[in-house]
Amino acid sequence: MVSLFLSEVKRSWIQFVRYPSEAITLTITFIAIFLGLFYGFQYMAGGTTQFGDRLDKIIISYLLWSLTLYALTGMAWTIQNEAQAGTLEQVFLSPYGPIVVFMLRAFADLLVQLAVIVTAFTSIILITQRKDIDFTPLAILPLITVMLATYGLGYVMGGLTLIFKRIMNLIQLMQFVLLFLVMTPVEDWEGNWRIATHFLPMMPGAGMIRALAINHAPFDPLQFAVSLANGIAYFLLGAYLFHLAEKSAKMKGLLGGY
Amino acid sequence: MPILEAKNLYKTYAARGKTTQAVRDVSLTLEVGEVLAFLGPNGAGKTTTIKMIAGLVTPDAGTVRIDGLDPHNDAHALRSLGAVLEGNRNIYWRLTAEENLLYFGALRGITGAEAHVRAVELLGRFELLDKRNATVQTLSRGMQQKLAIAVALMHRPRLLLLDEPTLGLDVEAAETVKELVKEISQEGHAILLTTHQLDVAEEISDRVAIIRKGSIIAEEPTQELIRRFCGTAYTIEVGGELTPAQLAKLAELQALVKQQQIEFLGDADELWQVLEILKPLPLKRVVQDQADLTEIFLRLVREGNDG
Repeated sequence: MVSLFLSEVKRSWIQFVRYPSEAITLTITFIAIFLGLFYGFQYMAGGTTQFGDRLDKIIISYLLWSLTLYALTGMAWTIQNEAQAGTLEQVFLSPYGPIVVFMLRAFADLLVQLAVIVTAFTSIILITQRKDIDFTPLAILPLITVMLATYGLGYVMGGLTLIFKRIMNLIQLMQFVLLFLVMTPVEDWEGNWRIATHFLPMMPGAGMIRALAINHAPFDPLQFAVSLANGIAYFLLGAYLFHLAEKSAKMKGLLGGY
Repeated sequence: MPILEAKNLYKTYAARGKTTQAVRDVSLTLEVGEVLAFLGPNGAGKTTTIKMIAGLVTPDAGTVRIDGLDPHNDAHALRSLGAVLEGNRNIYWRLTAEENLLYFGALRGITGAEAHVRAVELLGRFELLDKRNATVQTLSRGMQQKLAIAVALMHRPRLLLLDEPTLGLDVEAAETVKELVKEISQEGHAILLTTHQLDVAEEISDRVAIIRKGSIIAEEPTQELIRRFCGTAYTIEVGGELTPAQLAKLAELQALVKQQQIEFLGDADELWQVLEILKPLPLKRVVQDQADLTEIFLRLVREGNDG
């Protein structure tokens, strides 16, 4: 399986860099969208002095949103593209099974995406002069829980693609659902609403990342336990639903079609 | 033990309130080193059967065993299986020939070191060494097909499924692929092959199975099937124009008319019926032919359609 993961990383990287114009365009687009959001928001706020933390939250939330968006829709895009290209059935002939193959592929794609995000993040920090974001290494832990839940939803999107092949409209809709899930400042909420967000995918982990990186809050083990349980539960649920979708697609003979 | 045992496979598809029985009671077995040509008209159920064997389509009933394992429930069965599926590219166009081989080797579960050795071996064997660093999209159709077969062989599967491997290839490329299939079977791989090029099937298959409307209508060793039909094929040449009435009667007997030449498969009694229809046209030539697989296939399929 290690061999397959390394092959997936290599495949993903080769496909990314083989056409440099695509890689450069992707990175520039990523930065441009953010700068548009950033300066637009700054203009509307009128440059108040208390704007700093909010800008930091925008930066962190945007990076989180783009990372999760890629992970959420990556599997669906992969399946759609492979079905179109005529390689999807070969993936299903692997003895590792599609759940493992698509997971390793998603991890590999994430590494490539991280290269884009690190480049973009550094550029954004330099351009916007936000040097006080405390990217504590502890934030990696809740980030993992967020990614687990995201991949769970990614499996659901992938499963739907297996059956319906084209789910462009749903993918577009999910971008806005994701905005709500990762950008809502749940870390500032109290009471029952806060508890309710523990059951929604990604929300507890996303709030914890912002609390650690921007509010400079101490690491809360209980909050992390909630985030981890949330991530694992959504991951397993997503993988199970993907398995059901695979069974359905094989029963209806839909794997090879597009 | 046969490498492939597919027993009593059934598959029905339902779409828009209409059901289509794609495969009915199909059974196939294949021994190591054997080539089985699986023939049938478009929509007869060949691809559905192949995909049920590969575990890509779930049968409504019946069982599949590859090397004794069920590909629908045991992923280990897939280690003994390689497939090149019809209508698919089967390989990644943005990767080079060698990168494809290495990636699919890992996907099929072999180690990186083993994959490197095997990739070079297959590139040499399939005469693609000089194209190892060329991306697939720059290769000719014939080279792409050779590469797809090489990719399917990376993990040394005992059973190889080839769905229309010569489709869309020029004569030379098709000839190369045909030779490769022969060589691969001689090395001990069992091959299940579908093709519309019946001369290819006749030349390289040990056995033939013909499927029509989802059911197997003939299955026997290729040469036995041909022998069985030998002496029943005739070519008749006449010296004048056939009337519409004569053409209609000949069509009823499944005779093929090409201008003034009539090709006919049947016994002696039926031959006299044809000659009776041709009366009073002058006969220039009546020759008993050696039947080939194409004629046999057409006859069996047409008989089935009429029945």
